[in-house]
Amino acid sequence: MSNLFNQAQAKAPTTKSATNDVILSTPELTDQIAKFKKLSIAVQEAETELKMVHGDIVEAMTEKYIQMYKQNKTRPESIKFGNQSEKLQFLVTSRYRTVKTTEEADELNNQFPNIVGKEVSYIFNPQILEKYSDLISDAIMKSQLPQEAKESLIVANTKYGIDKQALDKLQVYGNIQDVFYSISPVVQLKNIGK
Amino acid sequence: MIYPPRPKVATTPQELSKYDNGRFIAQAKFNGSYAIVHCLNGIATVFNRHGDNKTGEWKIDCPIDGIICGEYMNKGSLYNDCNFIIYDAIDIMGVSMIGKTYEHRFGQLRYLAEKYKTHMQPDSKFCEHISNKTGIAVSILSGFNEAYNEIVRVPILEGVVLKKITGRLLPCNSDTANSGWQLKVRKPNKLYEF
Repeated sequence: MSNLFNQAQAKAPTTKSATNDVILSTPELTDQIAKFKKLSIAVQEAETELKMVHGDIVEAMTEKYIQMYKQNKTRPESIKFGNQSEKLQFLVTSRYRTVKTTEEADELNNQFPNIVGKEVSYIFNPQILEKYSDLISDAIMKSQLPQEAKESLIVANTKYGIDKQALDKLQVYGNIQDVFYSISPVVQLKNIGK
Repeated sequence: MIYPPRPKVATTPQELSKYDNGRFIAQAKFNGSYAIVHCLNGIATVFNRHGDNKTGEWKIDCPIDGIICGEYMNKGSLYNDCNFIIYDAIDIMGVSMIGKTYEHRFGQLRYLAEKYKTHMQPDSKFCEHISNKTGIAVSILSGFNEAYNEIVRVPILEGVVLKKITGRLLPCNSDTANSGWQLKVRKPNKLYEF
């Protein structure tokens, strides 16, 4: 009898070839198909335009935000802007770009000292823990683990993060504009009506 | 890993005139693979956009030091005898381009391309030669429809990429980080219809 892996392989569905495609004539859906195609294109065109317009507003408001920050030496809370009939709100949050590697953290800290913090947590290596489960109950006390396992039992997990308060003290780190774009805080545009 | 700036959103050729307003430039979209070249003193370390090291396999003679982005023409045809066509940079001569506008970044690249130009190959409308096999994309300032109509006739060109002149480079740590200031218009082919 073949093993379970072989049986599972035998049961796996095969991929349908292109020749299995069915082509149906559906004259009753002609209008809907045309409408679907037209609307799909219109939606994608509009989504792209929206992204560009959103980018325009964020870009312009970010410039103004940095200008106000430089002038007042303090972070503007939020900016309501627009005209008599249409207004939006611009918010810069304390959520920043992710910093994944030591290299990224070092690069930012070299430019703007201490802007990236490091948090190291330690966890037990689950493979080692499982492998020596019988010993673990008393091994730590009696130190019966092999030296190699002892050394790799604890795994360090390092996380980097931009200082949560960074946005409140950009000028402390350097040129406000340079720091702003380097830490790239999440910005929001809110529709606040008229 | 570096997620290089590239267009994620698209629109139709019918929408081109909407962006032909002096705030965008157009460049040909070359049919190759995205290459991120870490170049120092003429020695290039090359990555594709998925972070795979392609040094040695992709032979690039980039004369500009920095982290240079461009298209590696590995799909069968070169363009204007170039196998690498530069269109952006994350770092130029050790200076980070984060927070800098596209106008600034491309202006720096153009200046250095002119300075280091060693090759007098006749230039094409969409790519200028710099060195033996490296070129720099030509920025078209207006007449996007005419450019697109010319591009669709060239098999190795896929369409156009529109870039906002004021688009600032944000930290390249996600695939969408820099998608807010650029869009693409592809010509239809057997596999692609907008």
